[in-house]
Amino acid sequence: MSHQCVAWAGVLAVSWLAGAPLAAQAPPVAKTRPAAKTWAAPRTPDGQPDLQGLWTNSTITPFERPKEMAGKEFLTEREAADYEKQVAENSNRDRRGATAEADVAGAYNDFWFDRGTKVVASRRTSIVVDPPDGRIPALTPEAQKAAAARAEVARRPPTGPEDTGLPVRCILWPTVGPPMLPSGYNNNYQIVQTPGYVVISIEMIHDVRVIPLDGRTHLPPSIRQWMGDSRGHWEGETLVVDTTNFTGKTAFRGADQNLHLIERFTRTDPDTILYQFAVDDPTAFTKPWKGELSIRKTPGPIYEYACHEGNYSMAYMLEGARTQEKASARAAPEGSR
Amino acid sequence: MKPRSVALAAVPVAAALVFLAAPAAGQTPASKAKTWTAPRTPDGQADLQGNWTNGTITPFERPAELAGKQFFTEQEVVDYEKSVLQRNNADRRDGGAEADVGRAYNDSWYDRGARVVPTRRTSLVVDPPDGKIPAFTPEGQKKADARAEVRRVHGPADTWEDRSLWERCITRGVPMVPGPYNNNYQIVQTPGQVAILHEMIHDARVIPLDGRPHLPANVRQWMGDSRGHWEGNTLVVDTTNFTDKTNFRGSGENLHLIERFTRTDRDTILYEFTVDDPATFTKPWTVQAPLVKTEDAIFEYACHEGNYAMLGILAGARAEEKAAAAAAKQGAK
Amino acid sequence: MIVGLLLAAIPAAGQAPVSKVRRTADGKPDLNGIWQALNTANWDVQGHAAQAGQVIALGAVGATPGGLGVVEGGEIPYLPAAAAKKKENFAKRLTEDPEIKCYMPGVPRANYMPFPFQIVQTPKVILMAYEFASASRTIYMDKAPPSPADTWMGHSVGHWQGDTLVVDVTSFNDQTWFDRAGDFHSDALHVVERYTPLSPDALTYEVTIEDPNVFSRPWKMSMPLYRRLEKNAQLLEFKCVEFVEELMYGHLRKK
Repeated sequence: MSHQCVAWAGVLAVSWLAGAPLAAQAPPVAKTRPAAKTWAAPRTPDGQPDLQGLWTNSTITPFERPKEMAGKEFLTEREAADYEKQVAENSNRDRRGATAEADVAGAYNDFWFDRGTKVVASRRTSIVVDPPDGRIPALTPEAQKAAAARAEVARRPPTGPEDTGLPVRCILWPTVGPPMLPSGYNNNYQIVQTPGYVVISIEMIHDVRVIPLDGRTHLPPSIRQWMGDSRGHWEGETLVVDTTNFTGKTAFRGADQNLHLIERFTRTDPDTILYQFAVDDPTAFTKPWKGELSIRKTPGPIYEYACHEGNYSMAYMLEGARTQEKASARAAPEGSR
Repeated sequence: MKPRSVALAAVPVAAALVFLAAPAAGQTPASKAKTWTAPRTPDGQADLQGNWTNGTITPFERPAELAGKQFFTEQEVVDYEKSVLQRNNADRRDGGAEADVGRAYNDSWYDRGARVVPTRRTSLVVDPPDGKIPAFTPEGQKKADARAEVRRVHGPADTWEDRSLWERCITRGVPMVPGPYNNNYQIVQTPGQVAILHEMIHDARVIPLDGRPHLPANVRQWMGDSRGHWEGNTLVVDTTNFTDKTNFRGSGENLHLIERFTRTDRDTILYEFTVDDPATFTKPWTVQAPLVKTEDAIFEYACHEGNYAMLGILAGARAEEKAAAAAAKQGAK
Repeated sequence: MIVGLLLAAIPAAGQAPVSKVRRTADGKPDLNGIWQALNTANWDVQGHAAQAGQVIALGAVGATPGGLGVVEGGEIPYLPAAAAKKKENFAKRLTEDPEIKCYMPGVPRANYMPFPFQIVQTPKVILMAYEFASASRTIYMDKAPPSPADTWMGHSVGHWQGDTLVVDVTSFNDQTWFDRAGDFHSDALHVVERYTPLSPDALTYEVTIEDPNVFSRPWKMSMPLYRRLEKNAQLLEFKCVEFVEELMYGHLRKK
């Protein structure tokens, strides 16, 4: 298992996190046992399928299908091995850059990363499985406008902390979601079940989802949360989690506050949970879409990811932006002379 | 009985007003039968419950002109009460404009009581026998001098801190000493506790009787920390943990206050307290201030909520300074 | 989760006589003790998400915690003009909320502030002593004198309905708010409180609010109140006048 970062500085100053490919050590071996259809998860004392334990969802499978794989839904075993090797090489951060700048950019070397080294168990070429092209459907015009505005903010140097993105601000990481998606490191989870509740402790950023199973209604619409409001129930072997009441600021892949997310957790063998999610947000997406990936057992332990407490990079980013402005302000009058 | 202020403006502008020394009128004091036994609460405590007032015109310390005289005769009481009543009459319109304004809080607002205490003592202080608060210790004197120095250096209202705790609507505090109005208390008893609601300033002391220890020494309160127990028919309340700002008659944070409540007849509680603060006073001293039954209800005394006086006092002081500065400038020209 | 488990173990609210409830000598449920609400009604009686505070220096300390709300049905039935006034109050809450000035909080707000209060119960009167601002109120259980004037804490007259203490509170002024979100009332406010034992250490507290000047119909709040079980629990002083003097009078401090 690769080492998890114990959050020294917490946050990476940049936002390459989501989609990027990978590196380093021996993967937490997902014993790629084919999910025997007959296998049934063990039960908790109160009869729930037992999902408990430590899990990781790190993977090098891209979220959306890359252009070069267009039309190809699955990799063969051979292709998967090649792909894994190639990604490992491409994302090797222990190479010293050709220029000083490239070298500094690689300061977070491979030691810090834990993206995983394997594609998902299904060997799908993207986490998005529906539409079949593996791409997120187009945004509605309104959502496009909102996305463009966010992009504009992201493009310029940050005027304040709110311009820098939720992970950088230590508010919300892709690992948390929901949906819970792999990121650059600390892709670790602990699931605990008690009668009436499934609880998911998320290493990054020490968020805990306490999901009631008692059929209670969602929060009133006036109460909006970054992580929404989750209610669970069992459909046979599958835990179904229904989440609404998102804030408009959560903006998962362009979603707005009307996002209705349904996650499905199915334990397919002792070491694997099939994690599926369906995104339904008619005001943001032109049609619903779905994704899935495999969550694998990991020996753990879960560490404390103190993100905000060590978020020196936020101050540096803002200081850097202010310094740049000063420099360009000095340069401008000279230029005009 | 006089109407009480329901705290419209709450605090008199000239707070220094009167506290103690004024004289008297009124009803017949309840006579004290030594043999009288208080009724009991269901759990067997002597029953002190009901509404009580400690308004009186008996002065706190014995005035110089009464030196050596511990008790009034009945005739002296009548004369004294009459003279005090005249002296205190705030409904008079004689004197100049200033005196008139000074009586803006007219008699309608006051409720000092019209009577001396039923014992006919000439002071509330009963021990030492001279009816005077004992001398300060050198340390007590130093503190008093320091306070006087602050008063000298400061104007009367440089800040609210130059005004009394009462004017600031923080508390009338303990022990329970009569003031010019709203001298009313409600006592409620339940198994294990005695609660005393002070009408002014809606302070409710809930006194546990279960023998628990006092608060830790680092927790200090304006009204201290009270623990009670029964000694026969007498409720004894022991209070410590005062703040060093509470300052009862010069006392410091180590004040140990012992109050004793004994119901002596249907209409009277003999209320006695001893001030034990060896750092401040050269010896302990004791006060008796009887509580007399009243059928009146306790009202809400919303002091801070209507404390326009504080704004007025401070604004007045600032205006005076401005005027003085302007005059000085004028003079310089 | 823990709360859920605890709740499961105790009888539901409204269930008739709870046998394990302690009783006073006259056979009534013994409400003597120190009680406190554990909710965010003081920030906003209606359901609300967490939000940033208004004083930057206070950071996380000044932020509003989210809460499910205590208003039955979720919405307060404001008359149109009153709804506008509430909005205005909310916008000005940093300067207009009477809590900020340490004013007595009124009823029912005093019961769900994040401070304990103590019930001292006798057959004739029930005294409620509040830690916040040393506020207090007397509930008359037999002879109630007429109220002399409108007040901050109201004029309380109580009676027992079975094991429920019912308190009728009137004679309010129009100066208090229900919460920091600007929910308000006029001096026509009429409050009916119901305190029902839920267990020896919990009460169900229900409040009906009626004020035809502000609301289109009566509405209800309900919440549990919990007994403070610490050994030797006692109210401490929160004489906040001292803490607000600079705020209220600082402009008149001698320069």
